[in-house]
Amino acid sequence: MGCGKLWAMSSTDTVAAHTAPQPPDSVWRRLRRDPQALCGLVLVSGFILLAVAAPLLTPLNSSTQYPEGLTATGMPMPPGTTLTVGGARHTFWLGSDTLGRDLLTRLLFGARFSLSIGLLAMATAIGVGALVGLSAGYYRGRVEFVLMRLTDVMLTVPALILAIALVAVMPRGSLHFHLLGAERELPRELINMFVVIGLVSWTGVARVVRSETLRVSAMEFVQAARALGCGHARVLFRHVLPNVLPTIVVLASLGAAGAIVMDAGLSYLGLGVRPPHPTWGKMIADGQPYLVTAPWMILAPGLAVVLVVLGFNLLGQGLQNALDPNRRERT
Amino acid sequence: MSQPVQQPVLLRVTDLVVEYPGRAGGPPLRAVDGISFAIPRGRTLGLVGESGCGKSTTGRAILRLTPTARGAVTLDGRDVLALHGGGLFELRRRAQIVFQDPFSSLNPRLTVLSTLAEPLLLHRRAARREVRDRVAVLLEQVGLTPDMMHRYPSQFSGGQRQRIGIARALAVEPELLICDEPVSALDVTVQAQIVNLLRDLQEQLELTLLFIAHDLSVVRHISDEVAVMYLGRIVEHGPGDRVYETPRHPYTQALLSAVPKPDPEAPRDRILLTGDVPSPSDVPSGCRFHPRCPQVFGPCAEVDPPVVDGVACHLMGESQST
Repeated sequence: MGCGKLWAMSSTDTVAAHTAPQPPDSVWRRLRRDPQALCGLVLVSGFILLAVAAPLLTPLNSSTQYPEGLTATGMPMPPGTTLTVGGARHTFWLGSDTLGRDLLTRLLFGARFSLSIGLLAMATAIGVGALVGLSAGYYRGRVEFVLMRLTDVMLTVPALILAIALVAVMPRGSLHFHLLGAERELPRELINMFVVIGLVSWTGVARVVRSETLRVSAMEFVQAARALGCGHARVLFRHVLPNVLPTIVVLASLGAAGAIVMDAGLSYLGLGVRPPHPTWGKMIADGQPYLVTAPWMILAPGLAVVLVVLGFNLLGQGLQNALDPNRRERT
Repeated sequence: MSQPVQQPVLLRVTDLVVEYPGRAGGPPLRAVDGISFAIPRGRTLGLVGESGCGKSTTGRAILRLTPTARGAVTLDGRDVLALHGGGLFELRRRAQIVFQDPFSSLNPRLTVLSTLAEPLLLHRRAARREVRDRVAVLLEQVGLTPDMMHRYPSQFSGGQRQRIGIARALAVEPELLICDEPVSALDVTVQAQIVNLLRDLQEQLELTLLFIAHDLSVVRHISDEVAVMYLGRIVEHGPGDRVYETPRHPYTQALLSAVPKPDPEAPRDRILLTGDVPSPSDVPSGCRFHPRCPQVFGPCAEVDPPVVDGVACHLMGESQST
């Protein structure tokens, strides 16, 4: 073959693109083609929608005890009972609890607590974990040693036990504030819950983000950025972080599921948002003694937890596959 | 390449030593063990050697991307290793690097425009509203078209990505360009295009090149001088033609005998090296090439050969004394 001719080829010849431009939204396209991920997305967004629209979906109050909601012998009403409440006909679609409260109403308003605590706790865990992981993986050396040993120590303490201890010492009560022209009240436990759950569950995030940061930092474009004179902050946030972000998104979805379970667990133990505010965990605890006589009391909140957690897990799995199509799906 | 008046030296490396921490408790690993060379302004030095001989580390040490243990590096008379803050930033402007792997040397999350705009803005080579025009010029300079600036790296071939990598390095209008195996990862046909591009750019922009490669035939095409590295040392250094026509060090002879010749009829006397490159953590005594050298004799195992006429080999002393 004529090597000489090759060398003589003009170097400034414009080279046409070999590949057609790819649409930038291919992640979304892959996600849409994955029935599992789609299922997860529908579940998660469905529950978020229900929580947001709660006041529109039910005319009743979540903590009012309706005398009409109990049978003559003081037992809870089964699902689907239609009664006259305060002069208007109302169907207790999910039945009532032992105090005559409407379970659907409690479930919907409970979703507000469960989901917001889950999402905020996840955000806290991701924030702390990503910062620790990024710093450890990028700066290496002493920073890495200190941060990862701290992570290891945190990992040796059982998260739930630590959370119980932390929640026990945090202040309780109500926060009052003005929003949209109305006086509003928020249980302080809402903040306690997400802060505590976030602070006990960032370790996994830190470890995964660190290893991803190590991988990305070793790539030549990071060296190139340094050779161009980019400062550490610029290299870290413009070049490293965006390439670690897909992993963080997956961790976030899976983390939200974990946080919701932990919130339900703590509420079940009576450490969550204080009654009469409805929380799924407390609803399960309330229904437990009536498992045989009024199984709907425990079924509704139990199924809600299962479905939301399933939704977040499916979504996380789907995101993982969509963001990294080269990695085979793990079963 | 014509021989103009002697150009002043742009880059001078003196007795450079780069060490990496060895295994826990062990001695440090010496990747570069006391190398010296100088490149006059506008010329090209080809640095060749097998993988792991320290040639890439040398390039990175010059750019302060990896810390050095000893030695001196001066760029245009200024001590590179003592730079910090603004001085170091100025070095980043004057000296740039093109990487080996076009698939990992571009940030996959940035468009070509963002990739090329970063150095322009960082070093104030263009005002914000001129950035697009400057990027368009840069792309044309490396043989791409301006309409490609909105694409992502994944939409380009290896050769095209390497051109983008070159454009990024050129954005700051550097004087020294270190090419760290810029064509090793490319197809042979594309290799030729990229080497030609670099040569054209060198001429246009009066660049000084340190061209690192393991492929001798690639280096020959572009280099004025060639330095051959083996296990952290330069074993032979001389004008390109001299090194290629009459290699003196047995290692260079072996390397050159391994280069395929385009003429299938031409006689081939391959010098086969036995064994592997020793680990830099366990450097052989005396001449570090002696365990693999086909011409090993008396002093080789004991005495580190001095550099005579750019060649570090005991045979050089022999031929002069006899």
